[in-house]
Amino acid sequence: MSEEKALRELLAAWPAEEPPAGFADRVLAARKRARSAPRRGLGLAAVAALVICALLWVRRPSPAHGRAAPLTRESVPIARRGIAVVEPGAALRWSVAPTGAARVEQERGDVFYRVEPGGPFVVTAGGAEITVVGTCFRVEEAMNVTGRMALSAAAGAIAGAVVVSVYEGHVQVRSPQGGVELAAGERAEIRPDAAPRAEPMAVSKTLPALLATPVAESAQASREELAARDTASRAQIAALQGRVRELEVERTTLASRIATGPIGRGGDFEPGDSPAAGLPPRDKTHDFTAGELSAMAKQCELRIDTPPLDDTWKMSPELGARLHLSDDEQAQTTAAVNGVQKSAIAYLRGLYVAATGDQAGADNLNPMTLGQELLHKSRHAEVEEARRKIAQERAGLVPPPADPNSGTIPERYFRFMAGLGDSLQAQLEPVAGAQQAGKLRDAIDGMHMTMNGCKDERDPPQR
Amino acid sequence: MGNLASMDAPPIETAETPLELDELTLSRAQRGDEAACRALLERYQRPVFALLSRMLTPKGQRGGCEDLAQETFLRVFRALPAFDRTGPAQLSTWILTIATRLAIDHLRRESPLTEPLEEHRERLHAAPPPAPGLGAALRRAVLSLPPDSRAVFLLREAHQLSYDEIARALQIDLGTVKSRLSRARSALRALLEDHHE
Repeated sequence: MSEEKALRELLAAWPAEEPPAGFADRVLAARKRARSAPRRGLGLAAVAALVICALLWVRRPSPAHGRAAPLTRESVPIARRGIAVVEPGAALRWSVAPTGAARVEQERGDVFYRVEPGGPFVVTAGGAEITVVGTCFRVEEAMNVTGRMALSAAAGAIAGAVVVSVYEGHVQVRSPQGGVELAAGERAEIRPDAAPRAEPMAVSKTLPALLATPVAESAQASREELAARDTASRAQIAALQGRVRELEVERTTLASRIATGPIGRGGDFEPGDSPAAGLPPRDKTHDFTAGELSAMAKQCELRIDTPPLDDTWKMSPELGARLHLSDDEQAQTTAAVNGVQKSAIAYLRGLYVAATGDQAGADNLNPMTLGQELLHKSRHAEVEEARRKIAQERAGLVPPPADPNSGTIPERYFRFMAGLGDSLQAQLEPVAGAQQAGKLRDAIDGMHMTMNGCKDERDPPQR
Repeated sequence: MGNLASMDAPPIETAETPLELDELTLSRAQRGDEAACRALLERYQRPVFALLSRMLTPKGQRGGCEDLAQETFLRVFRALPAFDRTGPAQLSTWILTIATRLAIDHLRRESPLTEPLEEHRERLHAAPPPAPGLGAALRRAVLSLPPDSRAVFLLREAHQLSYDEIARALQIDLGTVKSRLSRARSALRALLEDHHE
C-alpha cells in the first residue's frame, strides 16, 4: 500500500464530528447578542437614544405599498431588505406581499437599488422585468433622450430605452424581445428593436453617451479597449461602494432625525399624497380611535407593535430616568416585558407546531422567523382574508370569536400579534401607571409593522 | 507500511477542505450582512468541527467541541471586517488558525492529572469498535501527541495547509513545523506498524 493511500484510508476511517443541527442559528443568535450588548452599556442618554432609535429604524419594516417621486434625491426602504435611491425626476411605485415578495414599478427616471438576498424582488421599467437576487443595480429610464426613445411596434410594450447596470451580484432582465442575465460590472440596454445584451459597464459615460454607443461596439472591441473598460468598471464599482457608504451616512442621519423629533410622514409619498381619509398618522401604533380603526379596516390595515422577541430586554438607566421610574419600577418593567416576550414566544411556537407538526423547527427558529414561516406556509388568499378579518374585528365591525384560538393559522397569528402591544401595555400599567405605560410601550425597542391593502387591489398573485 | 517521514505527496482531497467563499459573499459578510455570515458559517462549519473534534481529547469533546466551534466563529465575525482578502491567508486557513489556537488553549487548560484517568475511563467504558481498525489506531496515535504537534499533523494531513501556512497559524518557524510533523509521523508509523502486526 502506498503511503498516500494508507493515509487517505486512515483519515477516512476516523470520521470527524459533524456540526449539530441548528449550530449556525445558535452562532448567529450569539453574535447578535454580543453585538447588542455594548450598546446597552453606553452611558450618555443621547447616544443611547440614538442607538435605540437607529435599531427601531432598522427593524421598522417599510410600508406594504407606496409611491415616491421626489424633487431631491431620496432613499426609499422597500420590503425591509431593499433601498431605492430615487434621483430627482424619477418616480416609482411598489407593493410588498405578506410573504415579503416585492414588486416595484419604475415609471420614469434614474433609480439605484440595493437589495439583500431574500424572496422575490422584481422591478418593471419600460416594459422590461428585472428580477433581483441580492445585488446593487441601477435602472435608468431614458424617456427624455432625444433620438433614442423609440416606441415599440409591438403594442407599445416598451415606451423608451432602459439601461440596467449591475454593480454587485446578478439580475435577470426580460423584455418582449428576450432575456439576459447580468453579472457585476455589466449593463444592458433594453430597446424595442432588439433583445437585451450584456456588455461591460463604462465608468464615465453619462446616460446619453451610453445610449449613443452602438451595442455591437462591445463585441468588436480590442483587448486594450476591453482592458480599459474593465479598469473603468472597477473604478465605477469603487465609486458605487462610496455611494453605498453615503447611504449608510444618510441612514445614520435619518436615525438622528428620528431621535430628535417625531417621526414624520417621511418621503415615501409625494407631497400632497395624503393617506386615506380617517387613517391615523403613519407612526401611530396604538390607542386608535374608533374612526381610525374603521378607516384601517377599510384598507385591511393592521399595525403591529411588539416587545423585542429575540433578546432578553433590560431597561436602560437612561430610559428609567427619563420616565422617572424608581429602581424597583425599572426592575418590574423589565420583568413585565420579558414575561410578555416569553409568553409570545411560547404562543408562536405552539402555533407553529399546530401548523406544521415540526417541534424541532419550533424550538430552533427565532420568533420572527416563526411568524414569517407561518405566513409563508399558508395560502396567500388565507393570509389576505385573515388580515381583512382581524382588521374588522379590531374595528368592532365583526365580533371576535368566543375562542381566540379558533380560525385559520394566519387568523390566529394576526389576532395574537395585533394584540400583543396591548397586552404589554396592560402589564405595564400596574407598574408605571396608565400614562407612562403608553410611553414605555413606545420606548421599548421592539418590532413595528404595518400591513395594508385589500387583496383585490395591489398585491399581484403570488402563487 | 512505507516511510511516512519522507512523504511529500500532493494534498489529499477530503471533506475538510471546502471551496473558498466567493468574493461577493465574503465582502457582504465583512459588512455584517446576516445572510452572508450564515453562508460563511455553513461553508466552514464542517472543517472547523472536523479539526476540533480531532484535536480534543475524549474528555474535552463532551460539549467542548460545539462551544469551541461557536467561540471560533464569534471571533471570526468580530475580526472579519479587518480580514485582508488580498493577503497571504485564505479565509479557510484563517478560520482554522483561530480554531486551532482556541483548541490548543483549551487543551492546555485541561488538568494534566485528570486527563489520563478520564481517557483511561473512556477507553474502559467506550463501546469497543467492531474491529481494532486503522481509525482507532490513528486516533490513539494522534491523541498521544502533544497539542502543538497534534495541530501541526492535522492541519497538514487532514486540512492540507502548507508548511508556511502552518508556521503562520501557530506562530512557529518553518523548521519547527517540519520537526513536529516528522515526530508526529514517526509516532504514527510506530503505532501503525504495531497495528499491522
